[in-house]
Amino acid sequence: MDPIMFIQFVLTGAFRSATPVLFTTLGQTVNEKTGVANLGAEGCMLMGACVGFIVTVQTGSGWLGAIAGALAGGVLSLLHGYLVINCGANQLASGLTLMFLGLGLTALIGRPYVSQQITGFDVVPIPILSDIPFIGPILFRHDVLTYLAYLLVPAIWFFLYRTRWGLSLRAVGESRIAAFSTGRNPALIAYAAVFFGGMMAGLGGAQLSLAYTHFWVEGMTQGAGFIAVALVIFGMWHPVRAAAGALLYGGAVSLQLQLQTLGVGISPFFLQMLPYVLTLAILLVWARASNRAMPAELGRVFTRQT
Amino acid sequence: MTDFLVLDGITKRFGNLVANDQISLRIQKQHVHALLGENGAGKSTLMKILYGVYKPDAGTITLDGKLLNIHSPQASRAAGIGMVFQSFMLIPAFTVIENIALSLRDVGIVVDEKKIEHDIREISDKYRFGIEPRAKVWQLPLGAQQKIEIIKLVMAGARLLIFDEPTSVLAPHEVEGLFDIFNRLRLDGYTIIFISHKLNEVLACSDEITVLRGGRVVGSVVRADATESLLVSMIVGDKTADSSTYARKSIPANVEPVLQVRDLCAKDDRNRPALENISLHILPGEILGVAGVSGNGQKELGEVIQGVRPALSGSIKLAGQEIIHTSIAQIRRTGVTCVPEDPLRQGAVPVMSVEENLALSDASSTQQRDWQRMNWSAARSRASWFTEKFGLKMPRLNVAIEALSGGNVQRIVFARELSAPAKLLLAYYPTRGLDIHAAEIVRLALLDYRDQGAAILLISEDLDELFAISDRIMVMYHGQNVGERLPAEADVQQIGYLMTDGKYTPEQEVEHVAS
Ligand SMILES: Nc1ncnc2c1ncn2[C@@H]1O[C@H](COP(=O)(O)OP(=O)(O)O)[C@@H](O)[C@H]1O
Ligand SMILES: [Mg+2]
Repeated sequence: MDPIMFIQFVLTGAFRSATPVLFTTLGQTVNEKTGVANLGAEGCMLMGACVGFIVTVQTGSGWLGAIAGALAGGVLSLLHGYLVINCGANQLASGLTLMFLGLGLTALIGRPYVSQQITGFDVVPIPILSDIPFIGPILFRHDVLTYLAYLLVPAIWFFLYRTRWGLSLRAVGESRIAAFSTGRNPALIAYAAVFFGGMMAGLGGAQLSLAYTHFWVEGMTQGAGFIAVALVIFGMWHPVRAAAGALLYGGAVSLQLQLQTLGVGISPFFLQMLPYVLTLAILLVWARASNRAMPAELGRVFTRQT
Repeated sequence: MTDFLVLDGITKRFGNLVANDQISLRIQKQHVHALLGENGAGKSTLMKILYGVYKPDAGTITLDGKLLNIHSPQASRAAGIGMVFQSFMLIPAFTVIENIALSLRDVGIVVDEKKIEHDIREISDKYRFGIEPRAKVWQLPLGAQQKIEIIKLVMAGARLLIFDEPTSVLAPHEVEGLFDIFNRLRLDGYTIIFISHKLNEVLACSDEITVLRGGRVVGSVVRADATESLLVSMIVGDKTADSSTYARKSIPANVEPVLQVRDLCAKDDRNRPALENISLHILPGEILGVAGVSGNGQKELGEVIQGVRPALSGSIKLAGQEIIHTSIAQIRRTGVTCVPEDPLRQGAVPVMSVEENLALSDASSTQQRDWQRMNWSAARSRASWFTEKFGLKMPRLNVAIEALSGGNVQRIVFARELSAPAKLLLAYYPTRGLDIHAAEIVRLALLDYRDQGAAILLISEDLDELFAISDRIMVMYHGQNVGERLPAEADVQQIGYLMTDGKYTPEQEVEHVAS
């Protein structure tokens, strides 16, 4: 194949494959900024993918599906919020439980829909821009949810760093007691952020089933939720860097897919490991540097006073 | 005169302990009103009630003629009350602007950082704070953080400013600056409540003084009527404050020093030189007092001796043995013990109970016959023995140590470190934040420890204390030993010059005599 074409395919695929992870990473960045990590993001993604698919099948509307998927992810994450914020549960334990709950629940309610077909979201090329050679197809020939994910990057950045709400939210993640003593309600803010994180994961899952694969199958996220949690660290809890991380991951996924279609003589199982190996490598290199940017309250158990 | 703030019958209980017992208090407008009292007298609790952190069990608060219903810090701030806590409520990872924006009530949805920056600069210039609004808070010294807290309160529209032991984090020369700020604030119409247990500070800056003891008001006096002896008797009640000079021990001249440091160099956390060819020695049964403004290498000196911080060059001999390049455990075994600067964080496990913290470094409560099993009953009885000996007042011994007041934590860690014999004790500000009575107990314990033959490196910012109990005083300046004096022969001025200038020249001597 023409090398230029190959690169164009890989990059186009990178943007598309990154979308579910990007949504989730952005959401997790927001809720980790309040000090609550949610390892159940994987479960929220599955909920989004499954419920989004079911609603789309039932109503025929991709948009209703996407909204329902986001809400499903958000509602599931509220359980995490309740356990962690109200009951003072350990975040890791609660998150992992949430993941398995999402996995089991979606396997159950999604079973009748496994072989169904939907239209969902089609590619919507942006007029004029999508005709630019090379760049056009890479950036401007995607589904609407993908465009939305990338537009959310600056929006979330603005929210976190330029608005009053973002300031409160970050304050909760740095010092609950300081946030409280300046008249904020850390628990409520953390709840809202956890809900948002769950919604974003749900939306990421919905994009996967409605726009990327157009089908539903049990466990279809294949650990993307965990990758997202790792990418939050790579992104040093900053949405723009998180987006860069998601794109790197998307690039690895896309590269291995393209290599497989080219039929290179490498085991497909090995190729499928590529994105995960890449994520590990990223963490290896970045762990120390990123620790400085970590919200001070991250992972700390909620107690009565705070 | 108008009563600006009236507290009436405020009572607060923690379990069985009555922290505030029917406290009534009147504070005049534009006054600096000092709250004075021993550790545990209930000062912080009373102020936290005023600021809405705790709910009182009984009592009313009236501000400017209006009865307040304070159920949260928010309500308190809305009423115009602001508080600078003992430990600052600033977020280290945030910039000064972000920290201040957090405390403002009327920031728009989109935070206007330019305007906030402008306002900060204005106040900073007016009161000569010299604060850079775009700096991250972790980069700033504690003194500057305190000024940020003040800016915060002023910008949030507070009219009553509460300072809980603001001078405990300041170097001596910064304290005067703070009192200057109090004065300028008062002239601008602010009312100030100032908590301290240092008599000279209270006498230097306040208009009226209220003394608390055991959760009750002993009485209020206006500045003109206040004398040191009156206040002391109010603070300690019928206890006698023994301030007689302490006996010094003569040390034979030919003994070998316990600690011998030669030409030691080391760097600080930011990789700048902290110790520059410092040399010193301490004999057994001797207290070497270290005078110096904090940040002149005192912290690093102790860390290098303990083996926590690497030395760049030089030698440290402990009982004749070189200890540079040996392990921390080895150094501890040789007999070095330390009362750290921040006992809660460096000397204790905050969430563990008092008993557990005491047992941490106590060999006798473990290693009992079978399998290193803990002997909790031994640990418990030892803990009660400790608390009795050091006059600690606390509800129960199984509370997390972080729930105790700072003075109590300090005394617990101190007691623990001194309970076993050691060759060398590094004592960092052992009486900082303690009231007169508690400080006295600690000093006597140090002298007792010395008389048992230990060498003590005493780092303190209280010159009176250094003069009272040191056998020798050394001044540290820019990581060097710039002079040693015998307390009997030196005077405070000399030491003061050495501390601030690193030298004491004949011209200064002339100036000093002339003035
Ligand atoms: N949250 C708390 N729980 C239990 N006891 C407390 C608490 N806060 C303070 N105390 C106790 O109340 C008493 C008064 O403490 P505090 O007001 O901090 O004294 P001060 O500020 O005068 O040193 C002390 O005996 C202290 O141990
Ligand atoms: Mg106090």
